[in-house]
Amino acid sequence: MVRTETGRGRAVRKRGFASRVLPLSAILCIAAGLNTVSAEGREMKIAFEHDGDPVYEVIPPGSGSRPLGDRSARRAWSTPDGWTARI
Amino acid sequence: MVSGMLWRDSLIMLDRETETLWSHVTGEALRGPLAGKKLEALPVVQTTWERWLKAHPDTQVLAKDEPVDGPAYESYQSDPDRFGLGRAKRAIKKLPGKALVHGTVFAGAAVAVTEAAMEESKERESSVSGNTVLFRRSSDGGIRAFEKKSGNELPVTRAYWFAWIAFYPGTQLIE
Repeated sequence: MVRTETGRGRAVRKRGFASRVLPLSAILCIAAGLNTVSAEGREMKIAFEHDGDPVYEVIPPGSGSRPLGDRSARRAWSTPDGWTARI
Repeated sequence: MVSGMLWRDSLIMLDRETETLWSHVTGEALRGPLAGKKLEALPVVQTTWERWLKAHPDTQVLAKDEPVDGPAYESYQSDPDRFGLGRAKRAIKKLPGKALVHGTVFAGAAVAVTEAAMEESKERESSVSGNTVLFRRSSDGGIRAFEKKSGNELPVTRAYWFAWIAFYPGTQLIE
C-alpha cells in the first residue's frame, strides 16, 4: 500500500512488534508538550521531522520513553534473527 | 527491516548494513549514513497466487518449513475507518481512505488509477505532462504502467488512497 500495503499477507512469516502496530490510527490524542501521539493504546513519539512532516516512532510498552529506534530499546526488542519480538 | 517509524502514514525501513532509514514509498534515505540517497524503483507485480499461477503454471515456489502465520493486518484491512495519523485524514476527498489505488510518478507528476477501475477495464490511460500514461492489467493479474509513446514501463505502487495522497496530494486520479 502505500506499501503501507505492499508485500504483506501470507508470505510474511515474522511479525515484529512494529509491524503489528504500524497501521494503528483511530482516535489520536496529542499529549501536549510531549510530542507523542497515542493510537489504540499504543504510544508514538516524534523522532524527527523530514520534509516538513513528523516521523513518528513507536514506543514499546514497558520501555519508558525509549522509542523503538533507540539503540538500547532496539536490543531489548530484538532476537538473534532480527525484529521478531512479540507482544 | 521495519524500523518502528512512520512517515506520512507509511513505514520506514531500516537497512541492517548501514542503519540508514528509508522511505519505502519514495525510496529516499531520510536519516543515517546514506541520507539524501535515493533507491531506484523497479517495476514489480503484485497479484494473487491464483492469477499468477494461471499465467505461469510452471512456477516454482520457495517455501519454508515453519508454519505461516495468519494475516497480521486482517482486522486493519477490513475496517474502513482505521487509517491515517493526521495529514492523510485531511487530504482525502475524492475517495474513501481505504480505497486501493495503483500509482506512478512520471515527469514529476503523480497519476493513479483505482483498483475498482482496473477491475472494470483492462486498460486506462491519462495525459500527464504532455504524455500519456497507460495502466494495463497484465496476464498475471498485476497492474503495470507504461509511457504510451515509448512503451517504457514505469514502477507502480499499490497503496491505500490515504497513504498515496499523503505523498502525492496533487495526484491525477483515474476512477
